[in-house]
Amino acid sequence: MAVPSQDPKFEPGETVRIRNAYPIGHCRTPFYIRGLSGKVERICGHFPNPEELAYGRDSQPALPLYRVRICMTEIWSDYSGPSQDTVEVEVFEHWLEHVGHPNP
Amino acid sequence: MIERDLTEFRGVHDLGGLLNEPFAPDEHEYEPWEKRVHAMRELLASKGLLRVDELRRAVEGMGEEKYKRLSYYEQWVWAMSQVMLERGLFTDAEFGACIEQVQQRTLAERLGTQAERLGTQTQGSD
Repeated sequence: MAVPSQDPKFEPGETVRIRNAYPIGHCRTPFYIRGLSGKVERICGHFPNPEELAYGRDSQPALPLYRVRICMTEIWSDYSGPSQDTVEVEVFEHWLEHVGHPNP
Repeated sequence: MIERDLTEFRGVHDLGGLLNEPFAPDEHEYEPWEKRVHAMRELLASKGLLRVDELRRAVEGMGEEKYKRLSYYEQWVWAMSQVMLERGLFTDAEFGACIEQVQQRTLAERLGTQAERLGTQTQGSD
């Protein structure tokens, strides 16, 4: 029986930070955005965690996935393009934290 | 205390944000063996034996040397074999025995081809 999923913790428009975590194993959160902040552009839905699926484990409950919009100037210290340029990355909830409330 | 650079934790596949040379998109026909590998993947997936996440994990984990040396579908062969081994679809010994058969067959084919060539040359010199 499927475990019921949790309600999403974050809302569109909210500012979030991608955690500065460096786990081994299969990870879909790109290295270059770790520790950066962005805005939730949308909630993509609930999906099983690829980090678990990668080892043949079922992933229940499914986790909320967010599309996070990050400014290019956050990523590249010497970015010379338009200041409003952004990149969007889809990130799972357990990789995100509220800005101003770092995980202990 | 050993100083560790966090970049040690970047996967070899995790290239986002790094500088690289411009790449030239390469239009090419796939070899028959590559198509068979792709078909094998589809077959295993249809039987619930290979998730895309497992394939990716095994590709990402093969080590930098192999990752850079193997072609795309060679990487798949490596990764699929790893996952099937983990799932117990075959034992390492069974897999090794198959590889040995393939090597012997390849060797026999090569020797057969060489013998044909030698035979042809001999006739031609009469």
